[in-house]
Amino acid sequence: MNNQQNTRSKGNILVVDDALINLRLLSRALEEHGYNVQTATNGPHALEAVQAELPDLILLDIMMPEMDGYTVCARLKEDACTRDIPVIFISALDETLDKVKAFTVGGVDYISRPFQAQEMLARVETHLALREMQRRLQDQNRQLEQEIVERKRVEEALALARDQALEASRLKSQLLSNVSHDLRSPLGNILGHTEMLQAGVHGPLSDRQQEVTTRIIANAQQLLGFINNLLGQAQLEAGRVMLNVIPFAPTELLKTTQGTIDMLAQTRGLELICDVEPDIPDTLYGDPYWLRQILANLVGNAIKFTEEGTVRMHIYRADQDHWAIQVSDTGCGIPEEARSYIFDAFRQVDGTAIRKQQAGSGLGLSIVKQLTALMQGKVTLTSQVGKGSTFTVLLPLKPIQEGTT
Amino acid sequence: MTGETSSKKPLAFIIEDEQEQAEIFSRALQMAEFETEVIRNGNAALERLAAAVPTLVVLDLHLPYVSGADILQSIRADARLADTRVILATADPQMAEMLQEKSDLVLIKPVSFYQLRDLAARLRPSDTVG
Repeated sequence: MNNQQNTRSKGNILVVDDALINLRLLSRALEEHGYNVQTATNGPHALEAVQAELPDLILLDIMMPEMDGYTVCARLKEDACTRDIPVIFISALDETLDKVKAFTVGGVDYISRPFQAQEMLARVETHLALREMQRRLQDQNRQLEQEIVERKRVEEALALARDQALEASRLKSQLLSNVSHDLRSPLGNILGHTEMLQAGVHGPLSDRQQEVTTRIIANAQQLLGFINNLLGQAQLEAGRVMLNVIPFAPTELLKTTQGTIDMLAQTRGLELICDVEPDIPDTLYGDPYWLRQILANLVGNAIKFTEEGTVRMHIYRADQDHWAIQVSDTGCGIPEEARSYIFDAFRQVDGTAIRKQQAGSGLGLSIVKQLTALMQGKVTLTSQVGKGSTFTVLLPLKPIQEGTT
Repeated sequence: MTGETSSKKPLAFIIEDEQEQAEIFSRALQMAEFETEVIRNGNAALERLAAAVPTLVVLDLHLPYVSGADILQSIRADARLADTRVILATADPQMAEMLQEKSDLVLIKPVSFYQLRDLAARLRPSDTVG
């Protein structure tokens, strides 16, 4: 490469020799071949010259008064700034011992005097090329080290961001859980007091008063369903939903759900039908708490979207290995395009054109889907716009393994 | 509620630290024809359980001093209380599921007044019903 750069200097060479005649010979030969040459006639001057301007290569006489070439070389090798400058020794001495010493103190090559200019130039060129390659390798190494440092920093930043996100998520779930808990207690009391009132504990009620208590209960139940969903979502997100699979009676499942939904259906003027097919065993296996959540959400959803007619809860045997909870309504139905996202969590449903009166938390069906998946079941939807919708939750008859998260 | 009629009724303990809850539970059980006694903390509950044999206990799990789980444990360990029915009432479904097998019924709060009334009526010993 150097050959192609004839117009420019091929490199700065420092020539150190106590004999002026030698200095002149070397300088001329080097300058004729395109090198910049600096000279020094003794060791201390050579060291000063190197400090003033770093040469690319040094030709260094060994036998000099005051400070010999070995010492000069050793000094250069001690300093991190000058350590990498290639040093070629020049001497009339031609003893093996001295050559070995020249390499030991850090020289890269050795030229014996009298020398041939071509040989000297070839060696200089070779070592300059080597030095250049070494420099590039060092640069690449530095760059790689820099990249590694950078990457480590990015990884640490990512890890920190991830930890913070996890912590924020944990706090959100915790907050949801706490808030839900704190909402449930007073709401439970509202329900209890109203039911007591309705049951006549504090004296008989007029028909109008009866109706109002029904409305209060329906509203409280609706609010409670919403809170249960918040709590359920928090638990699902935190991976804390552990299914406790126990034997239960399907009729009881329907009855308790009906108990919490009945008043809501009444206030909306809807008929609520519950039936269990006779081929369903008296005892099924599952987690009644979370099954109630599924059922309450499906029925709550059906009531919300049904202006008039009936909402039906139906439990039947789907096939050899499955039973099914089916909730159907005579409501407005679900348009084709909505069916793909209707089970997604509330975020995705945001911004879609749902009528205000029907907008809820958007958590219900997402929770149904997540819980059904936990129970190793499947939820499907058939719907006809203007006629109604049917949600079917298919569940295994055989008890699934407990403690699935 | 005179002493004469109450003496024939089966006894129910409501072990619940929250006053309003206790009142609602108590009324539900009274409607199911139980004589009710409200106990507001775990220590008092253990004392009363050592002295009396209730037919039914409605037990909250989160109690001061002695936890509901410990009380349930001690009821089940006491031969005198072998026939005592226990309804757990808790807001914590996880906890409820853990103690499901040791209790006769688990109700997740909020507990419906009607539900408790009807369930309690079913748990009445048959001899006092007829």
